[in-house]
Amino acid sequence: MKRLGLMLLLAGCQAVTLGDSGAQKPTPQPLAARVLIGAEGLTRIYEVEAPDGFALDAAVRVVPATSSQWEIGPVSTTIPVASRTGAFDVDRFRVTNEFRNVSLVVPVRVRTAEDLEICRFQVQMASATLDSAVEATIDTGVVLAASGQPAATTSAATVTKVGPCAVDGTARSSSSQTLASLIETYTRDALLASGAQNLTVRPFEVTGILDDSVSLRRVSVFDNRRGGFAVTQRSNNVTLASDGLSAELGIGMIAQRATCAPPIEVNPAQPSATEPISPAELEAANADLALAVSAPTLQQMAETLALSGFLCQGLEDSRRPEDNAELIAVDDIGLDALGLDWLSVGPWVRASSAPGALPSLILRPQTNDFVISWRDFVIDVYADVQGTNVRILRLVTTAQATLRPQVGEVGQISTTIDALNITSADLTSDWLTAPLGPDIVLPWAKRAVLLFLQDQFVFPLPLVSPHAMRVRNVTVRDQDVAVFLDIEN
Amino acid sequence: MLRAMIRWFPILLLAMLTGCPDNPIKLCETECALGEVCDVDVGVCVPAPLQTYDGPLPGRNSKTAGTESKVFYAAVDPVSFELLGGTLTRSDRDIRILTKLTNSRSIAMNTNASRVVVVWLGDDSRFRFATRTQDNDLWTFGVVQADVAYAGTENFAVALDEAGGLTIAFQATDRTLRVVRSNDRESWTVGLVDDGGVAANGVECPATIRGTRRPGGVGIQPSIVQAPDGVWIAYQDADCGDLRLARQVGTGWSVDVVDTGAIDASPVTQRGRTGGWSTMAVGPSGNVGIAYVDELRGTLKYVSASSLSFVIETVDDGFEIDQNANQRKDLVGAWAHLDFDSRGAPTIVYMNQSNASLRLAQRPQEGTRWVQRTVASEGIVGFHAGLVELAQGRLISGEQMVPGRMSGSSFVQVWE
Repeated sequence: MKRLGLMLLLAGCQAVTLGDSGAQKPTPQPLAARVLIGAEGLTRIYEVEAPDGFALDAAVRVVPATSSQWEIGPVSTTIPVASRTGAFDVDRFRVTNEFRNVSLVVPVRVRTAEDLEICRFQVQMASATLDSAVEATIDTGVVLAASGQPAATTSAATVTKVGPCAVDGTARSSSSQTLASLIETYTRDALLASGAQNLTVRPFEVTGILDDSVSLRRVSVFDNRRGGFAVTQRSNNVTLASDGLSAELGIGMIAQRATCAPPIEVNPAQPSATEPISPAELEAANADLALAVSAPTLQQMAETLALSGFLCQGLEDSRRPEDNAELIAVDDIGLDALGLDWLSVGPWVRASSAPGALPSLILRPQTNDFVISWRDFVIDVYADVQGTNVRILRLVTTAQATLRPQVGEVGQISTTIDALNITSADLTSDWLTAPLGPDIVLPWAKRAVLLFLQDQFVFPLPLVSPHAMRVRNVTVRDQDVAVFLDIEN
Repeated sequence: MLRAMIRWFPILLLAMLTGCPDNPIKLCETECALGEVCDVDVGVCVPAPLQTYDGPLPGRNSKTAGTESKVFYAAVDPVSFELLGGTLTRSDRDIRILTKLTNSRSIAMNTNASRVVVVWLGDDSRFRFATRTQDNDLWTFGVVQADVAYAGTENFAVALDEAGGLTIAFQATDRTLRVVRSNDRESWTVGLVDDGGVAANGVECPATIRGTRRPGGVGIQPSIVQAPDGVWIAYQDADCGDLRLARQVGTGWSVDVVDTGAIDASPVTQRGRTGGWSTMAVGPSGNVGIAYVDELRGTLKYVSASSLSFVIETVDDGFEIDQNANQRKDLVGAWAHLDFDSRGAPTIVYMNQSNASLRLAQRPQEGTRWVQRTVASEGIVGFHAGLVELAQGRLISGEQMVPGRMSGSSFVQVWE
C-alpha cells in the first residue's frame, strides 16, 4: 500500500498500480537524465535510512575463566546518533557518527560444569565516535559501503552489574583480564563491527531513482482509461567524487494505450543530452540532490502519459461535495455568458477530459518556463438537471499554455499557467438557445480551460522513493529541466 | 354599474340564502372530499366533473403504465401544476385535469388488469391518490390517512395488486423505507420495511458512513412490484451507494443488499455507488427483474432476481467510439424504466445523459447479450423515460426539454 502511495506521486496525483514490466522492457535512451547527490544529500540518505539510530549487532564472545566460561553478548539494539556528518576528503566520502551518553545492557552467561547463570551488565560511555570512509560500488545497483576499517573512539566506559550475579566486573578471565574490561572491549568491537553494516546503503533506492524495468497501470473505474506504460531506467557512469555521487540515467518508455486516448503512436524517442549538474547549482538551491531530465525525455513522458490514459480525467469521484475535488461551483463556470442562465442546475458542475492528440513541450530557459501545446483537447461539462448528471456542453480546444514550475511540492512538479492562448475553440451543446460566435466562445473557453486545467499540469518525478522528495527549485536549461530536491522523512 | 350592483345585492343574497321556492338548494352535510363536489340537487358529494385537457402533453413528471391493450398517462404540467391523467392510443388521447397541485412534483402510477392509480405527495407530507377502472373514466380520489402518523418524501412508488389493494413504498423523513398499505383504499396501515440495518445476506453499511450523505438513508428512488410471492421493493441505500431489495415475508420483510458496486479500480472512492434509478418489473413467468444505474461507473445494470440468487449483468456500459476514434465514455441509465415484452424479454428505456438521448436496450433471449439502440435524439430528451409493453408493440416515452425554457416540456411518444 505504501508502494502504491508512492506511485501516486509518480503518476501525477493519479492512482496507478506498479508491476513487473514482463516482456516489455523498453530500450533506454542514454543520457535521458542525470543525477547528482551532494555531501549533504548522502548524509541525509544515511539519516533517513536509519531514523531510529545506529544498529548495534554483535555475536557472543566466549572467554574462558577460572572454573567457568563467560559468554559475553549477544547484543542487538539501536543506539541514538547524536550527530552524523558526511564530507568529501579529496575523492573519498567520510561519514562520522557521534554518540553521546551511550548506554546498553550486555548479557553475560556464566557457565560452569554444573550450572549456568545469566547476568546483565550495563555499559555507559559519555561519548563515542565512529569514522569511516565510504566508496561506491555497482552491485545490482549502486551501493555505498565502508571502505576499509572504520575508526572508533570512545570515552572511558563504566560497567555496572545489573541484578544479582555470582561474578562481578572485577572477576578475572584465564588471561587475567577483568570481566568489566572484556565487556568494554566487546562493546567497542561491536561498534566497529556494526559500522560496516550501518554504512551500507543503496542511495538510488532511498532516493527512488529507478534502476530497473517496471510497468505502471492507470487505475480508473472506467475501462477506457485503464492504460499503462513500461519504463526502463538504467544508471551508467556512476562516480563518487568530490562533486558528490553522480550518475547518468538511460530512460525508455513504451505506452500501452488507453482507449480514451487517440489511436496514434508515441513519436520515436529522440537522442537525449542532459547537461552536467554542478555542485554550485546544488549548493545554490540548498538541495540534497538534483535530477536533470532531458527535453526529449520530457516530451516522450508527456506523450506516454497522454496515450496511457492519464489525461482522461473527471467523473470518477463520487464523494460528498466537501471531499470531492472534481466539483466546480456553478457560479464560477459562468454559464450565463453562454446564454444558459435559463438552465436550472445544481450548485456544482463537473468536467471530464480526453486528449484528441499528443501534447508537445517546448523548454524556454530564458524565462525558466515551458510551453505545452495541445490539439483537439475535449472537455465535457456535466451539471445536475432535474436530479440527473447530464452533459450540458462540450468544449474542444487547441491551445498553448505557458507553465511556470512551482517549488515546494513533494514528489511532483506542479505548475501555474502564466499564459494561455486558445487558438481554436469549438463549443457544442444541445442546450444553447442560439449559436454562439467566437467573440463569446473564445473568452469563455479561455476561462473554462483555466478553471479546469489550472491544477492539472502536474509533472511526476521519475522517482519511486519510499521517502518524501520535496522540490526545492526547478531550473529550465537549454537541454533539460533540472529539479533540485530535498529528502524528507 | 356600481349603483346597479348595490341595488340588486340584497335580492341576490336573499335568493342564495333561502333558495328559489321551485328549485331548493340542498347543501351537503359534510365537506366534500378531494376530487368531489357537492351536488346541490340531492345534497351529496359526487365526483367532480373533470375538465378535458386539450393542450400539448407535458413530459415533466410524466408516467405511463398499461395493460396489454390500454395505455394510461399521467403528468404534472410544469407551468400550471395541473395533474393530468387519462388514456393514450397511437392516434388519440383522452386526458383530464385531475386536480391542481401547489407545485411541480413527482408522481407514481401503476395499473392492474382492472384499475389504474396515480399517487402524489401532498403538502402535508401525506399521499394522495386518484384511481379509476380500466373501463370507466370516472376518477375517484383519496387521501392516505393511516393508522399512525407518517411523513412521506418525494421518493415513493406504488403497486396495485389484482384485488385493487394499494401499497405505497416511500422513504420517510427519518430516512427509513416504509410502506403504507390498504386493501380497500380507505383504511391504511404503515409499516417499517428497512431501517438501514444489516441485511439478511450479511452486508452492512458501516455506522461511520450511515447518515453522512445528503440526501441519504435507505429508500431512495424506490421501485415496487407485486410479485407472485408478495411485494418486492428495490431501492438505493444512498449512504453506502448500494442496491437493496426488500421482499415481503408473511407480515414482515426480508432485506438483501443486491449490489454494492464493489470497487476494483477507483483512485478516490473506497466503496462503489450503485443502485440509482431502480426499476422493477415482473415477467410473464413471474420472474422479477431489476434495472438500475451504477452511478460511479455511469453504466446501466440488470439483475435477474430469484429468491436464492442475484445474477448481475451490464446492460449498457456507455462506451462509444467518437469521431476521433477515441473510445468515449457516456453516462447512461438515468430515468431507467423496465418492462417485459410479450415474449418475456426484458426491455429497458433510459437516458444517455451525455447525449441527452432516449435509449432502449433489450435482451432478446436469456443468455444472449443486450442490444441497445437510440430511440430519440432530437433535442434534449431522455428525462422521465417511460415504457409500456403492449400485446402488439410498445410505447416509449419521455420528456423533451426546450432550450431556453426550463419549464418548457413536451411529451415524446414513440409507438413501435
